[in-house]
Amino acid sequence: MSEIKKSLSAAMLDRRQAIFLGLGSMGALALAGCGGSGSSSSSSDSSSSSSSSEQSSYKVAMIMSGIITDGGWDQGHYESLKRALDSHPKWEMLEPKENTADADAATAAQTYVDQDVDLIIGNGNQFASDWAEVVADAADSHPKVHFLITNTDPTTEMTDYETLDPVETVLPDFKQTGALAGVVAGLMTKTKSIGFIGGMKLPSTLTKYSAYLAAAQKIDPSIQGQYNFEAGFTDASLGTNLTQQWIASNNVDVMWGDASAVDNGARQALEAAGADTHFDIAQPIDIVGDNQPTVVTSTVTDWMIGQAMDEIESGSFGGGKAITGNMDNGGISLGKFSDKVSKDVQDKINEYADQIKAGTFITDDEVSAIQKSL
Amino acid sequence: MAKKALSPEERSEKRMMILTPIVAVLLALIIGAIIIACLGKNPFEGYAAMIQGSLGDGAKLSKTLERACPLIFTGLCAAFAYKCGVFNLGGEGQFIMGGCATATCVLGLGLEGPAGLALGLLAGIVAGAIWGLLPGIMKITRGLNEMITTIMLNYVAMYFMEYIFKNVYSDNGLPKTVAIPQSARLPEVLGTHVGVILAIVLGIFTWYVIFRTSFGFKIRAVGMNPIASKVNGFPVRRLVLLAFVLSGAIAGLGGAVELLGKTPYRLADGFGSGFGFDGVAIALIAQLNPIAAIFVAFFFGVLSTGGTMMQSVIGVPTAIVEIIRGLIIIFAVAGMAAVKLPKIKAYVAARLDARAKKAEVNA
Amino acid sequence: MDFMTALPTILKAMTMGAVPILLAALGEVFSERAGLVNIGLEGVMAIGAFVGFAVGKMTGNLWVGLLAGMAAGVLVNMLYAFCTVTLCADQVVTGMAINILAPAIALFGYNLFVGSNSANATGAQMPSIAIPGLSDIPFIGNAFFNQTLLAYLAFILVPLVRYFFKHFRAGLSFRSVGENPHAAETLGINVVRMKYVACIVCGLLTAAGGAFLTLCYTPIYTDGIVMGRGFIALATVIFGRWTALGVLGASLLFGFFDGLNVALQAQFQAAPVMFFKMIPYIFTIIALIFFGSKHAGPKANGQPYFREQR
Repeated sequence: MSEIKKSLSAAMLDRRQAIFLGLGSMGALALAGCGGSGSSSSSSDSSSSSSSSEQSSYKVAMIMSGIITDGGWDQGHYESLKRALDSHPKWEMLEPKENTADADAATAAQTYVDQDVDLIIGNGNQFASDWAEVVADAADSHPKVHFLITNTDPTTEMTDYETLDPVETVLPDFKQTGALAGVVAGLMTKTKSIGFIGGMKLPSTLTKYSAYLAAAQKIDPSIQGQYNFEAGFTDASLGTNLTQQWIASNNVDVMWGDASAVDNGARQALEAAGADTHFDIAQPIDIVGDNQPTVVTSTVTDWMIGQAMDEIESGSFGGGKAITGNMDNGGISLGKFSDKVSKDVQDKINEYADQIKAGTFITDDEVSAIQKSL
Repeated sequence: MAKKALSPEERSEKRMMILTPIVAVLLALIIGAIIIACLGKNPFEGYAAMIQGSLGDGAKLSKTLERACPLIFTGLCAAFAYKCGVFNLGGEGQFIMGGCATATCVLGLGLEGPAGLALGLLAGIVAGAIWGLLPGIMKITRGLNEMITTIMLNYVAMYFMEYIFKNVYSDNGLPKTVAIPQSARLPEVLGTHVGVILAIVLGIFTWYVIFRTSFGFKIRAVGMNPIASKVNGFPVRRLVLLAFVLSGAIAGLGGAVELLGKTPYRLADGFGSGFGFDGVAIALIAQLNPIAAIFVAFFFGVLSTGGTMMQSVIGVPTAIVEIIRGLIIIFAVAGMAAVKLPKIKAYVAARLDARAKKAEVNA
Repeated sequence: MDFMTALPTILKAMTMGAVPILLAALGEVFSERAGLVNIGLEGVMAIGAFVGFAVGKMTGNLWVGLLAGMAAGVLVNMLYAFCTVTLCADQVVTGMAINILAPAIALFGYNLFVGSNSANATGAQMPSIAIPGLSDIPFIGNAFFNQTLLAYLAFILVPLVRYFFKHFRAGLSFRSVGENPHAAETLGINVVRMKYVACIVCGLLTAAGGAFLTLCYTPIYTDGIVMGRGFIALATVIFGRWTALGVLGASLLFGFFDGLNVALQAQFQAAPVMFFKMIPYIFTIIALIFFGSKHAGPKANGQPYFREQR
């Protein structure tokens, strides 16, 4: 006992010194903080005068939760950006920020604001709530910086924002996406049973699934749908197990995925059950032919980044507008078909696709009836 | 307590123990620089960006402090538990449950203003304490290894939080809770939320409790030698349980502060993710000294915010910052263990002896 | 839910899900038998998963990938061994550091390997080998007798490990190192060497468990692919009372509950599925409460060994 006491008291001596040191330097830091914040706001005002329409070069940066080769969400965004860059030679891309943790999302945006990047793209509505402060600060100090957040409805998801002046969002018409996949699924399924795995229960996910099932049931009202909206985006083995379970219990033979890596797992299970009778519809990039025997076609989403670039060049960007992506402007399309889809079926799909484009294939009521039942 | 002058050996060991983490950081940064250089980027530009991005001006500094704030809480949580010999790896779960309770309290009861703030913080403390109590009960009644149970409870907490933000207080069906009302948020002081100051004060208070009170003395005694403590009549089981509860409460308060103080003022996917394990690393690098933990946590904050800046300015993968962080922990842990090794100790003692003799001869 | 329809698939998920945990847990048995609690399994598995994936893809030979993954696992685990055995550093913290460092290295490697070339993102898979006759047994046939070769090997390993610890001199020395290293030293056992050997075996098996994820389960590597399986493996070692058979049972049970979780998710689609996702973890805690024992386990487990100390 006394042994313990002795060693403890000996160990304590330097701690007192440490505390004074600590308090001292903390105080110094706080002082530095005060001084710094005053100077920063005055120094950054100088850059505001240049008009955006005279610019000869622009910079764009992309911030994502995953990586550019996730085979899904972020890869789809990255490929959209590259397509936009091909048609906009004035634009130059900075290294994309991958693996952005929730806690670092605001900082990530801030670092690009500091570099006066003309367009900062956030891949998905998880960035909408994190960026409110950054956007408010940047609107004052860096008027050249614009923000584009995808898959976000500005009217409901950006109520935190003081200003929406430098912000726009992209809102693809996911009813069309879902309907396209539903038509393919409805025509391909033999068992009248189709499945869907979503990574996260977002409004867009629900819309996609509802339109998917509505369109399939339009083709054959007896078609049943299975769904999971909570699979996340990384656990591929969950996709395998879930799909196996549906194949065994519900006879599912067509899957449509909205969950990046998890979709890969689903394809694994479909392949094990027989790639000639079990099919997958990929999303959001075209991967038919990439050594994927089960994938029959892909619903492709383009995130309309080119339009945002045009608007910035002409100075009309901002105000919290939502850019719509649909089948008319190329925001939504169907990818290549694999040889599992016969010519007849392809013709039928194209015929229905034209109806979807015209808005005559399924009605909003049919979609929302299913959405309400979820 | 009586003070005793330190022998040269003890003093040199102390100096080594302070020096080791610094050397560890430098070594890790050098290795990081080599990796960056191998990628064909300029490491000096990168590190300059790191410092500029985290400490460059007041706004940046305050962001860094806010980033470090939760880590101070989880670091203190780990340090306090370890002082009592409790390996609480559940800081993350306790942090998350704190956040959940705060959200439930403020959003569920519709509280606003200071009442919401105060009750929210209290709810966080209580929930964290309960989440710490569970593995504590399992340990003292069934002898279950707390490392395993706390990690399992982290997962349970994570999924429970999903339920809260997706099914209970979801904002328009989005996977996040509605925001905490403006009036119930932590006020700002000097550009950062007041939680940062709370964290620092709590650190100093924890230090005081551990090193200056008889309760703290008992906690340390149990941590050093539970059998001897038992022989001395200390209520070992109760003290261990208290260590679980209090460390859980600290983490739970951290979760409450994070939710009430930091944008976006909501629970969402990724809330608290990784903070628990970071806290453990922080506590150990700080050698379980709560005040040192504040500084180490601040340094981790610099690495996070500055690392993001570095990554975007020179264009290197995010993983590099993680690698540097992992290396710092490894080097610091290995270095501190090495300093304590008998062989090294003997070598240092011999050097000191030689120097003393030399001094004598010179005199 | 029609439980009987779902059961074969649950059992399939059980055997598939059990293999990586079983391999890692067997590795941990070696480690803990020698007195080293290695909480860094998660990180070693990540390295094994990535290197197995990348080398398998590059060489086109999945077995070369597996071996490379195992070698990488040993390398990472040597870092742990050096810190904990030679430097007597705290085992928990060293393991935690491995858990932060190793996945970061794997992710960095993945960035370099795949980069923006998404063709590299999908690898090949080991084929399942159905054992004629046995694989047609209802319910369990497909689950147990239609597996990849690596899975069969993992299951065959169980009796071998059991035999090793029961009947081999080396196995008994292992145990004595974990029970009382000082006594073992006086018996002429080189404790430090034994601990290093334990770490090598642990690294090999754990990394093989990680590699199973990318070579047999899904053809891709993602950051976070291990999903806590390393921690589950730690729990199964305690639940399985540090024996090979116990670990087998524990990992199969965990696999079963994970399969049940998925089956529930598949059938009760409108329910809050996060509660199903909790099942495996809550089950682990409950299992430990009922079957975990205070007194089981190597006595010197987790303690540093100073040779000079007597």
